[in-house]
This record gives sequence, C-alpha cells and structure tokens, in this order.
Amino acid sequence: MGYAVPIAAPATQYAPNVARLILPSIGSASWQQLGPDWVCILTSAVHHNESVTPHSLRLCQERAVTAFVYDIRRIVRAASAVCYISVPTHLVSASLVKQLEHAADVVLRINSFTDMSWHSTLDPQLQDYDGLLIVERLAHLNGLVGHVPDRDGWRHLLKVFSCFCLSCYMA
Amino acid sequence: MRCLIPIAVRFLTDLIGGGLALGTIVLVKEDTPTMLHSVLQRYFVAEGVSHRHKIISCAPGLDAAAVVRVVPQDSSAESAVVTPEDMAIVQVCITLRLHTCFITVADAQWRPYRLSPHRAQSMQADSLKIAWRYQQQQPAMSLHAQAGPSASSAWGSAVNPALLAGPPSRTGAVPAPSSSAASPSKPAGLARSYDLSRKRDSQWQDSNPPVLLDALAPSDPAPISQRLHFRNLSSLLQDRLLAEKWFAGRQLQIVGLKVGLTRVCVFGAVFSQRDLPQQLRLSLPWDMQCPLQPPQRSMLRT
Repeated sequence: MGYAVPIAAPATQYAPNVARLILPSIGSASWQQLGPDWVCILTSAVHHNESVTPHSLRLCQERAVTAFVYDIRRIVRAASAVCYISVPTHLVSASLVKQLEHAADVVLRINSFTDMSWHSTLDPQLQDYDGLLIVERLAHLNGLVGHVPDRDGWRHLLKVFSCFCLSCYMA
Repeated sequence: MRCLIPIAVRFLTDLIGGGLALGTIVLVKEDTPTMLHSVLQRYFVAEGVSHRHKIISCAPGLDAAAVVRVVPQDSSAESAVVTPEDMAIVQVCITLRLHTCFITVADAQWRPYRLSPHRAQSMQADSLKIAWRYQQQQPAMSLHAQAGPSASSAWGSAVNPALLAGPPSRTGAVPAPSSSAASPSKPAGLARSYDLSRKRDSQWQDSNPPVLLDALAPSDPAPISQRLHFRNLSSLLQDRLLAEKWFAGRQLQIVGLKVGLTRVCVFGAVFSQRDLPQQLRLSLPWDMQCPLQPPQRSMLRT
C-alpha cells in the first residue's frame, strides 16, 4: 500500500505539501508559561537525594526544552517539513544552547554591530553593515561529509538596506 | 532524494548548499540588541507563503495573527496584488494538566482569503499610482543572482511533488532543484525580493478578527473544535497512534504532539484540507483504516 500522492499535480498549481515549522525564541519566558515539569523535578530531586532548588528547576526546564526540540526533530524528519528555530542566547544558558546546536542541522548566528565595542574600529567600508552572519554548522545528511561552501571564510556580513530589503554580502 | 527548500535569502541559500533539505532544522542564534533575526524569520515565512507552503508558527502565548501581519509582500509586480490565498498560520498550544485529561484540538480551515471587489479595485488602483515606476525595475535579488555562481538554477521555484511521493529517503544525494519543477506562471530562475515595508496582509486586520482560529473558521456550521477525552494519561501515552488515526479520518493532521508526564502539548497546526482540490491535498503519512468514531477507552486498551 503506497501513499496517496497525486502522480502529477497541475502545472499551474503549486505543491502545498511542504510545511515550514517556526519556533521563535524557544527557551524564552514565553515558553515557560507552560509551567515546569514537576514530576521531572521531583523525580530528579529524589534521585539525587537533594531538595528542589532553583538550579534544579532550571535544569529540568532546559531538559524539557531539549526533549521538545528532539521530539520536533523526530517529527520533522518523518515529514515533508523544515523547521526554523531561533534561540535567544542572552536569555538561556550556554549549556542549553549547546544542546540545541547538537539537535539542529544548520546553525546560524547573527552578531549585531550595535552592541560591539569594537564597532568604531571596524574598517570604514564595513560601517554600513549591520552585523555578522556566521554559519556555525551545516547539515550533514546521509553521509559523513556534508556540503562545504566553496568560499573563503564562514563569516559573512549582513546588511539591512534602508528599504528593509535584506541582503548578504561576503566578508 | 531530498528536496531543497530555499530560505528566501539568496546568498544564504547558496551558502548552505541550495537550501534546507526536507526534514532538517535550522537554528538561528538571535542577536542581542537588535532584531535582525526577526527579519530572517519574516523572509522564511514570506518564502513559504509565496510557495504556498504550510506555515506553522508555534509559540506559547504568541499571537499567530501577529506573525501574519509582518509577512513582507513580494515586491515583484506580478504578485503585488495577489492575496494570500490558502495561507494559514495557526498556533495551537494546549496544556494538559494532571487529572484533567483532555485534548482540545482546534482545526483551522485553509479558507481561501479573498478580497472584496471594492477592496481589490482599490488595491489595484493603489498599485498603479504608487508602484508603476517600480514595476519596470528588476528585483534586487535577481541582480545578485546574475552575479552568483548558480544563477541559472531554479531558485525559488515550486517543489516538485514527485519528489514528495513518499517519505524522504535516508539514502542518496541531495538533488539540486530541478528547473522542470518550476511553474509556468513563475519562470525558472526567478528570484524574488521582498519588501518589508509592504505588508502582505495589510488588509488582514480590516476584515478578520484578531483571533486567527476564528478568522479561519469554516463557514459551515461544523464545529471547529474536536475534543478527545481520556480517562488517564497512560491510555494516551499508549495509544497516541490511534488518536492520529482518528484525526486522519477527519482529514486532519497532527503536526506535532508532545506527550509529557504532567502535560500534553499539541504544538503545530491541525487543519482541514477539505477546501483544497483533491490533487493538492496532503498525503497522509500513514496508511490505515480510519475509524469513524473517536477512540474509546476500550479501544485504547487494546
């Protein structure tokens, strides 16, 4: 028994069978309104023979977020979908960021020039740019070696035009 | 073989190898003092809207309509007045607490969003007044595409449905987007550019209530909410697949279901495809006989 998929869609129609899943600012305060996983917290406290502390609360919350992302990855892997996750690195711990990086396939980082003290020391040609777009990880699917961009450097400058059109330039 | 999904930013799409492969996750670390990451997210949404992908935005407490409002309009003259048909951004997040075990699933219709004739005429008039001189200009990204190494690739074209005939294979190389997948209405190699100053849904707030689920509610008197009652959590944990079968019978699809010990959260969109033509409906990822009734307790135990 196969899948009930049309053999050929009409050429004038788009194929709407791809989903784009967006999880903005995961791990932020808005995601914590679901409440902590108290069973996990109490189980961990009993297991480690210690009282419930804010540290254990935070660890359990991070564990729940990581487990959720892994659940999402399992779902996305089996579906025709791609997932976009953004994480506020200034709000979550470094350990959670590392775990999310491990779960993700492609990791991008945006560094804004606004908060950089060395912005004034930048090359004058770079004064017009708004930040750095850094590719930290690329997907390695179906093999040991993934796509390697044939360009020098993985850091690219990101510029937002005054007309709000986004474009990227090589560093 | 895997399809590659573009990320709307030409340079970034080329950088990561032609796009995101189906089934992958991209993680973006947000910049601290600015909101440049939101721009990238808007483009990600806008690209999906242009391709009529299903856009699913999930976040607790997030106003899904707010996501729709910030989707930029395609700056090409061809789609300047095109309404966002078949677009639904649904946010479903239901918590399930201990001893109050029920799941409320709200489904949203993919109701074609159409403008009133008066509104459409006014939009066309506005486009003629304002953007007539810009229609002759090439899209900004097309200029970059001409200088890029893969300018001849069909970036931004529709996904070939033949490549989605089954679950994505775990073996094989990642194919490059084929030019044959392009729709005749959008020629191959057309790179879009988006103008964030022109909101795609500028008229969204005018004719739709702020609650998106209500805005996307079907016109027929059929209930938009389906409720499943579970006596205990263990039955739910054991028979999640059965629940999915029941949803499949209702032409619904659960995108994500997270089952925890103390809560069950349904993240994702549950939508009906009854309004879509038969050839455009999403294939069910499972092949089974769908029960007509909700799973009963006796069924859950077996």
